[in-house]
Amino acid sequence: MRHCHEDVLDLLPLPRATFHALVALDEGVAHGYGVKRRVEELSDGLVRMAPGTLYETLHRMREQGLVEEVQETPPSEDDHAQRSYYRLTPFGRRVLATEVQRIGGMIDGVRARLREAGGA
Amino acid sequence: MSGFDDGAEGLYRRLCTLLPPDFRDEYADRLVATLRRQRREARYRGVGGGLRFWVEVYADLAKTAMRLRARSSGRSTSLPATGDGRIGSDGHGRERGRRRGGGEMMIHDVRMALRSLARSPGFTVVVVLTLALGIGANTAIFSVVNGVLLRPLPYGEHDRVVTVWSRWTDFPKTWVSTGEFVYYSREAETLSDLALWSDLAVSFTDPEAPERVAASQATPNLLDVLGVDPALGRMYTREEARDDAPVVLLGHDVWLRRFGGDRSVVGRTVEIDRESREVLGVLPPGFRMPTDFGSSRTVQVLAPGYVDRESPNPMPQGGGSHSYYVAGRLADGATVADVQAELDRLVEQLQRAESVYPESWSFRALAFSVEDDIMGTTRTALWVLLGAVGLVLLIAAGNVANLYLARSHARGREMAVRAALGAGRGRILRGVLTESLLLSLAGGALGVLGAWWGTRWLLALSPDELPRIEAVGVDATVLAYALALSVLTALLFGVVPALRSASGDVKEAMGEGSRGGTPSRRSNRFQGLLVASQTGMAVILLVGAGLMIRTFGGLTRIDPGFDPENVLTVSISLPSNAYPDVASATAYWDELLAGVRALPGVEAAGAARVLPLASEIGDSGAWVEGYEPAPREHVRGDWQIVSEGYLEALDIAPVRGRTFEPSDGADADVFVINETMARQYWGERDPVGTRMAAVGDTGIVIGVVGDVIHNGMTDEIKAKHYRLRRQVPDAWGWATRTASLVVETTGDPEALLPAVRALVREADATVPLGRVRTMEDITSAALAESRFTATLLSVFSAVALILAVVGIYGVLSYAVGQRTREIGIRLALGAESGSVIGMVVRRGMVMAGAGVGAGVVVALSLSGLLSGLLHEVEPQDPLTLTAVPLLFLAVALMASGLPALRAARVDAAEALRAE
Repeated sequence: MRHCHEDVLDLLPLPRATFHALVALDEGVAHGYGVKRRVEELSDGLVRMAPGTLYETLHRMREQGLVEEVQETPPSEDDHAQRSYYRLTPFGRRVLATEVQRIGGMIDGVRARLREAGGA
Repeated sequence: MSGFDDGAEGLYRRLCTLLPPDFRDEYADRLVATLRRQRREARYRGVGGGLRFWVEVYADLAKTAMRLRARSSGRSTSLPATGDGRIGSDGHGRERGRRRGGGEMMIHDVRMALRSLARSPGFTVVVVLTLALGIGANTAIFSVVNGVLLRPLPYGEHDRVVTVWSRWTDFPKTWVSTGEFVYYSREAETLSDLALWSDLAVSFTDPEAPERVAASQATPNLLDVLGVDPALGRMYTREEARDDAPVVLLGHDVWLRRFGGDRSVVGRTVEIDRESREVLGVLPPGFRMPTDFGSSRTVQVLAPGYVDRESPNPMPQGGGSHSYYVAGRLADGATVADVQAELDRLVEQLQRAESVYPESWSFRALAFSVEDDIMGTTRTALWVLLGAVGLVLLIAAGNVANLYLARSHARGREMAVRAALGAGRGRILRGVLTESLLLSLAGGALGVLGAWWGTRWLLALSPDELPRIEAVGVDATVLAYALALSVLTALLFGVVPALRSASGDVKEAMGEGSRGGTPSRRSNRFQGLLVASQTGMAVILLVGAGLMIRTFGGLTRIDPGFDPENVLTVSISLPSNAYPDVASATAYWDELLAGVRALPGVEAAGAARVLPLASEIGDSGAWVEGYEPAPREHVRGDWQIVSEGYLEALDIAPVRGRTFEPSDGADADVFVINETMARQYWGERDPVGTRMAAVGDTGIVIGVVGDVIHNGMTDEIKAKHYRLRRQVPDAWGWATRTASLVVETTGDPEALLPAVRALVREADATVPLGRVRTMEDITSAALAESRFTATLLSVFSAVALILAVVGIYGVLSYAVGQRTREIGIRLALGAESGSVIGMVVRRGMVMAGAGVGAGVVVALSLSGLLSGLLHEVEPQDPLTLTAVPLLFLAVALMASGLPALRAARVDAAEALRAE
């Protein structure tokens, strides 16, 4: 699937759950529950996803071409039960990068303003 | 995972049907797998954690389902997945201004409702808990009704199966004789076929695993009459039955247990009562004989029995031995009433032609539909309980409606403002209804979880004899019922406040607000009516519970005539080929009893053919010296066979003469009789030393013992005679092989069981131990149905009482709160605080009094429904009908007193300044 820059912008801003799932999968392949655990760790427990929300998010991310399903078990996984794993697509990584840039830019602006206000 | 988690997970799986089908097909398994891993997380430990976990995942599932469905309706692809908005966006920028589709509108309504409920958490929690209580209790009872009454019986076209019984004086419902069976079979046109069977118990006698199981000996057409096919193999043929071929069908349980469900068992031989028999087939799972439902018995061996219907013998006087069960299948177009009418006619013809039965018997043949026969009073009890628990839900809904009304007064202004700003009536109505639906569904979900627990509790409490108890559980039907109930309840308590909100006149509402929101007289009256009806319903429940408690109390006070304390009983049956005569059976029992009596802690030990309250006893003909029976009168008595020590073990004391002793040997036959028999046939004479005959012999009466209740707690006590086993003639030898060992101990009777078990094995390793119970278990089981109904009705009526009182209290405190200003003015104008208290209490007592009065009237007309369940208590029991209203009015007085005192303490100046 080819995606152009417009496609990327069309998805921004990302819903919170999608954003966190992208960040989680950037660390490597994970199964559904693994994504949930990483999201909780990354957000210090602030973002929690129960099973329904989790798979709804992953399902939509797959439709949008952000992630793809793989069937092999990654070597890091000690539990070898047959299940589906999720991997970031190149498009997904681009969307994540763009979103991070966007938020980063916004945050930089806010920081600068706060600093000025604090300095005044 | 605990059982609770298993149940909650099963429910989760079922609820996955809420998801759109394609999503569900792809993800349902993953959802459950993830859910299991999440369940193991440390923060969900403990009971609280577990509850939080399930609330979270159910809520998540519901939200996901709604979002996905809204999305798949194609209106919006941009709804945020978590509803939490997006990072760096304003949260709803893209939605604004777009015309809302159905799904999105629903989501909007739901979100508005959730927000509004979140603003008043106290209200939400109280309402959800109240509804959970009502819906949960209903779901639990319904699951029992569903399992026991609503599921079809395991017979083909079960509504065409009838059972046939005999009835005569002293025996309201008893067995049929073979002569009668042949007569009905040949003559009855309303029945297409009749089958006959008798119950017995047989033993698998291979020494590795001797086991005693329930068996039936039945005519070869039994399965056809019941409309059942074997799960494997075939039924025996008429020829096999006639030739007494050594063949059997196995029950499904025993097939699984002993043969591991091996299909090649058909054609193999098994050893039953030390005889080889060929297995012809296996009965289907869940199959029971129509007479097995009221007991824990399930037939595991079906053996051929045969009655020659072609060459009938003339019927003997009295009809012959009444010891068989009979079932029939209705002929095309016939009803049970037709069968009954025809049987009445047939018996009358027989009487006219041959006068088989003594006139004094008033003999009748009875026909029941198999369903009526099996359910008996259970059906009444369960419907009464379902009705009772329905009333509890109505009362709960009444409280919620009251809370809602109060809240809608408080929100009157908000609604009016929204209406003024152009929100349509439909829109406001929908909002309020969405709210009540959400509350109700939440209450329903919590209630189902509670019901899952409650059902377990009910099963533990329910009588063993509750038919089909194994079919009880929370299944799809029960869930559908709970869902329907939740929606119905939401409408019930939501509609009136919704209509009121929607019809809210803007000016009136705004005006109300400026006057402090005093509720209108119309809604005052409505609230009063609501509380009065709740009170009435609670009174009905209390009256029902009162009657059942009085019945149960009466039953527990019945003296059974024996002392059940510290008595162990074990039933044992000897195979007839190893113990062919009375002497061999007696030798076995003597050896076993000698061993048992030598055990430490044993006070007395004996054995009896049938135990009181455990299995039915029947009567047999007798002769009493010096008694002249009236013409056609038959001298009869229940016949009990015992060994010495039995009467002592149960503390059945002689009131005259003595009981059996080891010296009562072979030289003279002896009898012990009960007081009823002495009174009935000896009158003023002293029976001791006179002669009587029964069970094949003539002998001397050596003693009279106290009456013992036998067939049922409330059955009339009949004449009974006791004989020593070793004196029974061989013609009655079959009756000496099966008996219950009865051991009275100084301590815990069950502690003795290992020693008794060892002795039984020592006496003969191929004889299995039958049912083991203490005598207290047996007497307690006899009260179980009545205890079940009484306990549940008490719980329900207690809940109803509390809810109704909370209703009264709630309405009055609310009214006092609303009228603070008015009360302040009254006090400022010089009203005594006493008159203010009187005013509030009067309002409470008027509501309660009206409710109590109406409740008593309705209870009087309904209590007749209970009459089949009552014992020595009239449905119009004056004690109950006085105590309940008094109790209720007293409690209502307390509930009104608190708000009244608060009203009297209103500070006039402050109340006026507050405006």
